[in-house]
Amino acid sequence: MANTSFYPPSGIYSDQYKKDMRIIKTKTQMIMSIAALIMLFVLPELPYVSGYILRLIIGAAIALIICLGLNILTGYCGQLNIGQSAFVMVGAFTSALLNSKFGLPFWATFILAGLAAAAVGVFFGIPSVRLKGLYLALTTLGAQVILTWVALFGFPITAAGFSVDPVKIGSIVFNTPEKFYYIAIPFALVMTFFAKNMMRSKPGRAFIAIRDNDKAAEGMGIDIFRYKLLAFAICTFYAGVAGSLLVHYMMWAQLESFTLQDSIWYLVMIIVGGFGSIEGTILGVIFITVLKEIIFVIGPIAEANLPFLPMGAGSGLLLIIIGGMAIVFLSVEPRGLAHRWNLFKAYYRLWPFGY
Amino acid sequence: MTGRRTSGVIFMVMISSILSAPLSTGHAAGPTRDVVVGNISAMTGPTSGTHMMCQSGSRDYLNYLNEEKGGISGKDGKVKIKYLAYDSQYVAAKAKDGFARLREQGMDILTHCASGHSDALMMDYEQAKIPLVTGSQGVASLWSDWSYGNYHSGIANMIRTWIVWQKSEWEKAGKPGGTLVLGTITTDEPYVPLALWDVDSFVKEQGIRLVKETIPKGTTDASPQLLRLKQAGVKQIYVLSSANGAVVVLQSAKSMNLDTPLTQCAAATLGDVISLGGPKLAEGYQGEYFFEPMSENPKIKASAGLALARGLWKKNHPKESPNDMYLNGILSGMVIAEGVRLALEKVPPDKLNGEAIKKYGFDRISGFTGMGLTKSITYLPDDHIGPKQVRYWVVRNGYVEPVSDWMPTTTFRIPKK
Amino acid sequence: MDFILSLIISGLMNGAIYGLVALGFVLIYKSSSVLNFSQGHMLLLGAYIFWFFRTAMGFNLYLALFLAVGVGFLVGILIERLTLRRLIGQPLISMITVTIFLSLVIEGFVSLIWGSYPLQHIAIFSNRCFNIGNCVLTAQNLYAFGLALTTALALILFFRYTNLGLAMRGVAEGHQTMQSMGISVKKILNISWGIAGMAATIGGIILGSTLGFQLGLSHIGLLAIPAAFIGGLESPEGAILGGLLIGLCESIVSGYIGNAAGVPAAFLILIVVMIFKPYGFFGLVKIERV
Repeated sequence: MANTSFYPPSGIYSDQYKKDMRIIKTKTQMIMSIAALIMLFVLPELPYVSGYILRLIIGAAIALIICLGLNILTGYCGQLNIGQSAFVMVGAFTSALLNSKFGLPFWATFILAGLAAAAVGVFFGIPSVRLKGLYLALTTLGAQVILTWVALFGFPITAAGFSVDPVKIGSIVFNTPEKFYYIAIPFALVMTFFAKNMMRSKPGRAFIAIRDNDKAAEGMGIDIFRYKLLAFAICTFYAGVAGSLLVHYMMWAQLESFTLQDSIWYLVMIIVGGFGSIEGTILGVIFITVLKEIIFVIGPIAEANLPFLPMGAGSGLLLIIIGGMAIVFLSVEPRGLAHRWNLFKAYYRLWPFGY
Repeated sequence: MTGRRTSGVIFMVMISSILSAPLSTGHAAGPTRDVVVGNISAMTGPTSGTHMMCQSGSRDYLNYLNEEKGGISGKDGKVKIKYLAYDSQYVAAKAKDGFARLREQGMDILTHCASGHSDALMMDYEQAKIPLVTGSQGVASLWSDWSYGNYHSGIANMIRTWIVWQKSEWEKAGKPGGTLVLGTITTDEPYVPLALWDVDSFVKEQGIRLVKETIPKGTTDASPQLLRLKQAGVKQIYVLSSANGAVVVLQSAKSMNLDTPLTQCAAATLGDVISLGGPKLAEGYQGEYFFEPMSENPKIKASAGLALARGLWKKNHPKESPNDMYLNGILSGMVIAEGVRLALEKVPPDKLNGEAIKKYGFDRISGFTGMGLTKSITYLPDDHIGPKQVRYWVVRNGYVEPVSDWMPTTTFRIPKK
Repeated sequence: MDFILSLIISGLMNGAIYGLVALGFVLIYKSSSVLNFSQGHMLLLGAYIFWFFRTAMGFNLYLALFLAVGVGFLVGILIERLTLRRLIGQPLISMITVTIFLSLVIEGFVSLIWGSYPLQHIAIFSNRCFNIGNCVLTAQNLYAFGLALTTALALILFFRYTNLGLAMRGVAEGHQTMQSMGISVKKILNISWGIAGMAATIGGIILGSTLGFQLGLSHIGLLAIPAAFIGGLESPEGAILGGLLIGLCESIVSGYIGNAAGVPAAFLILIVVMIFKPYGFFGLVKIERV
């Protein structure tokens, strides 16, 4: 797969390996990054941005963390994971139960939630020593089913749902979207940074080697089992932290928030965004969030205005349109939005010599 | 090139449609203020059928009031109802988003019929001071001061009420057999542990024996479990599942020539089971109803409310066969209308909001029957459960007939948190 | 004694249906290397099409069955032409995502035409039952079982002894090789998806008459996946055996442990089996070369 992302603008060169590996290579990129960060932080203050848009962004930020983890495992390391939302659930319920039974605050529990999810993730990653590809995906599907059952029958109250305290710093209580935004965005930023950083260092290169050809990687001396488990651990750690964020945002922990459907949506997000690319994850999350919003907003309108069709027809029509568009999109660009974005950047940089 | 353009275009269309959504905030300003009723249901996903029925019921009734009667009349004028809905896709996070969106659009009253949503949204509607009128209050919101039920008395009371009924019938028959042995067969749906919450101590209190069996959700055969129940000598069996599971149980029971009577819990209605499994299969199947069933039984005279509901169904869904959950929606609509009407007696239309409607409307509802649809709803300060009366019916010749009189339900509430 | 026997029978009957769905998976995987996540939804569509012919159009039962299976075949071909054709040569994961979106589209289509509320019941099988001791075998159980076995047998023979079957197996190995041998890969893919569509329709009709014609029918796809994998994704006989095994396991575990531990237990068994036999019992072992 040609990596078009390392296409710096002409005139930029590096004289040291260290400089070549930098994420931000040019002054323009630095300025744009700082501008973007500033934009992110003042967003809630802008007049047009309602609480609802902030809710969407927070939802997307949490999904982003989950998908980053998933992309590390599936996109970079090539181990398909169809059970991601079960690991999110492990983190979520660890955090929620610790809070509800022992009164521990979010700041103590989110790390524990991540570690718990990582432990479970490594456990379900053990079959990867023998299984490959689709067959490994099946064990993650099994994880989804088994963990859901354990949650339901180990802790019956999870079915009904129970309330969770909001996040607090000193006397500030983050119980509205406007306030929680300032928890979600920094977390998302930090996790994205860690992910990007990790992927350009030794584990990242090892993951990519394992994905591309694991026999060759093993032949080169990479301990593939250890790195596969590491990938599982990182992926599920991310999931666990995101789960903890989720329950403290909703202030409600319920089993029905973590289904197989969600796992599949996360997978779809990284596929649409682009495998093996952090930028792609961001794009994919945004795209799918927008897609789901359309179903959310327009479905009921369609339903109310098409009474002559059977019940459920309005949403049905919408699903057809959405699914159809997504299929067309994937046929046209199977490598995802990240690839499109890179092509666009390359075109822009090489103009007028682009081809 | 085409690929890039197509995907770019699709992306632009999506972004612009989303960004234009916030533009439609607020409700219409005019001489009469509209009361905004919001509905959050799962319109896509496995439970969409039931949710859509409920939504349709409340929407059709409230639209009917707007069109035929010009709205709800009060002391100082009429008030129309504006009905908005969102698809929660059966996800709690989306339900909360929907709530926020409806709030921005000026929602005064929330309605739906899903217990999971009732609980997940509890913090939201309590904080926003918006009353919830729902068919199912869930677990935590049974305790909430802002939620008003009109259907069953709580998940854990379905089997308890049935046990009380069975025990009284058994005592009337002279206590045959010494100890009463009852059975229950459940599928693995998430609400089942809640329905059976602490049922063992209840059973011990009542001095009877309860044998429990479970079947996997996707199974096509329940005969092993039914066999075990039969061998344990149960007198009647309670089916804790949705209509699909009930159909499977009925088929297995029929194939085994099991003559133990079966009763359906309120998670599905007899109407659903008849339509899903056929009238022959459902013959003799019992079920509980908290309002009058839609089934057009020629031997039973329909109440005014039921006749109205049937008329609305024919008008709005002429090509489909009628369904009981539609009535649940209609009843929600009626309770909402009654609350608004009562509130309008004390408060002028422009001062109406969620809190006022709760205080002067819902809190004052007493003896409300929805034109005969249900027994009697009275809301007391610590009790918003609903009618608290149930009636058991049985399927005969494809129609539904009563097999018991109205009786009070148990009112056990699962402890909060 | 009675109990375990009835559990076994019940499990085998369920398993036959899982096996039928798993057959569809295997067929599609064998010829196009795609794991079709929309198999459950194709089953749903097939069931609803049958309902349409039988109830809405009022045809005779056998005519409706015949038409439905025929339409199922066409639907399979249609799906293949419209969606997968563009994705030949793309990474596997895109194809899987397309099938996931496809399942959304099919669900939307079904909701659009028939609504999301369950449809009126259709009785297909007679009420005759056979007794084994205290346990019962209904006519429907036997039909499902018989149908699943005959379909599997037919497919096994088809793959092994006919030219077309041989061509399909070849296409699974490599599209380019087959094309250079003069076999039309397009035609083969069409046919295999068509047959998978037919299998899905048959499964849908059987399930629909038991569970009712409602949107939840597509969930069988979930349990059929481990069935397909345990037997090995390239093997029709493996699919049926896998289905029976999963059905048995689910039934026995649910019967003794209760709490519907059946499904998680089935997956647990799957994981254990896979650790010892990574490609399933009858799957093709991939020899890896660097």
